[in-house]
Amino acid sequence: MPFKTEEMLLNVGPQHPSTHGVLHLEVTTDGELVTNAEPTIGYLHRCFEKYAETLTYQQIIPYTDRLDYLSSMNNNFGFVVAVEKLMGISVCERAERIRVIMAELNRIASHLMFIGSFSNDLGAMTPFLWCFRDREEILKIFEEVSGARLLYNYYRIGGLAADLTPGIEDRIHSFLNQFEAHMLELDDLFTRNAIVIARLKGVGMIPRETAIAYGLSGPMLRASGVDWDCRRDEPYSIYPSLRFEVPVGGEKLGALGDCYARYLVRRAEIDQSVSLVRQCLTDIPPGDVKEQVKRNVRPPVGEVYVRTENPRGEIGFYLRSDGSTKPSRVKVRAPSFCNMSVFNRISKDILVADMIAILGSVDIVLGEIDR
Amino acid sequence: MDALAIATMVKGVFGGALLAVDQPDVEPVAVIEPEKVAEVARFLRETPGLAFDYLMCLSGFDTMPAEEDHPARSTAAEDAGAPVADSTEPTLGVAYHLFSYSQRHRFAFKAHTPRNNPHIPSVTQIWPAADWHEREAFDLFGIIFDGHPDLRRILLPEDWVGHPLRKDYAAQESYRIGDACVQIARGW
Repeated sequence: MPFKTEEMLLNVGPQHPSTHGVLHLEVTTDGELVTNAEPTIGYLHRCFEKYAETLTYQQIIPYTDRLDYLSSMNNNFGFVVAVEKLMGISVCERAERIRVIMAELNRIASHLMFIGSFSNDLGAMTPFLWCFRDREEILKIFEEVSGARLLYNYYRIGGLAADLTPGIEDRIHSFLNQFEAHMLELDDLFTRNAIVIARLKGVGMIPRETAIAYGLSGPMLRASGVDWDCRRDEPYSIYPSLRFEVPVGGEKLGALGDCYARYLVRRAEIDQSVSLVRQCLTDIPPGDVKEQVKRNVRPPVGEVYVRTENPRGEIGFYLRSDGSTKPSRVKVRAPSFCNMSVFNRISKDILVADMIAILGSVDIVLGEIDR
Repeated sequence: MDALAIATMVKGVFGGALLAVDQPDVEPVAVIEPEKVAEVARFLRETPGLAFDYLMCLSGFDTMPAEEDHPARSTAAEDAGAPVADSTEPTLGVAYHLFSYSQRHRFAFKAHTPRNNPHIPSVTQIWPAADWHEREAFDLFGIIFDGHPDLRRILLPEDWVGHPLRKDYAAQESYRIGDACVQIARGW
């Protein structure tokens, strides 16, 4: 006699620890297999783009903090680079150096957050605590320079809100030295852990063509074998004068486009960011980092699309100026938004536990998906 | 390839469908006849020398100037020197920003569509990435993307009224509560 089975609808979220925020997944399961996983987004929609049209350009900067709230420095960076391009102005060497230092430190903090929450999703608590120990040091550095631990509002159009505080260079140096040793410990605990590899290897494969077609970017794209990084290939700020490698999935870093490759790419990026911070810290030239423009900037009529490399991928700002002090349109092309759109495509005929691993490996921040 | 050269190529194939090239000195943006968007997109995607395989960004926009008596706008005296953005009839529009990983070049084009009946062909068949972007532009601007497989709101609730990023959108006083919520409230 045939055994009758039927599909079951499983709601993951909107409030669930593994959804990393208020994300609702409508999952259809056939036994242990996921047959469809439809994400519902918008729970955190705060009308950023509408609000931005009522604010002056400088006033928008604190709102960009709240897009991807785990990498506020990088959001600030992307926005000010976009406005500076629209206005055709450049910034002094010292300010650019400090911008890159803060952006790369924030990249490390963001990737630490990824490793921590990712390991937590897989059921390992210890890496989470280890990563937060080191992230805490970065937050303290940020607090010293900007006054805030999470939402920094540190970059300005044409400069920075404040110069480095005295002695902060030594503090960053000593943090980096200690941090590198901690990362080697983490490799023993997590990166080369047989259980981790068994859980991640070959799970959630994204082929190169799919990654490009769905507009993936950042570590998600590079894990699928596309050798592209805005910092190197469409450079902005002082990145052309710095030496760094772009980790790409493939023979050296795991299989092509699986969860393990996405982890390894981010893990390797941490080392590159450490090197970038060190390069920028040596011989910072003197200069006035305060903005050299008027508080109410008035960019000429025009439109511009500028993308910069965030920890989660390319953040793009599409700005339209009507010549007044307020933008006519600010569109944020959020990396998590595009990375998440491939989720349903790759979550078919997989185990429920693997779906959680895939969601963790996408490394979403709902703040920038919903804006 | 240079964006202006690409625009010339498009002009050669589609002729009058390429209406103009905006800001050619800074960041050229081709203006395309809205009916031709999908065809131009397919041409850009599939022509070997162009090979635009990556849709970086798709964004809706509204060319209507913000109301002058809007409290958030700066005072008239401050704005006296500012040029008027668009003297013609305000329209809705969609801007497409493309990149090619094999050719390492980028291109941008946009299409304008009337405010009272905004229709633009969908490009989801060409770039799957457009799926969510077009849903967002539909949600916030009310632009209908013909041929989109699943055109529904993405950020706002399904029963939201209006499209907030239009410049003439009036903020609602209250949110229409669904029947289920009303019943729950009555039960208390």
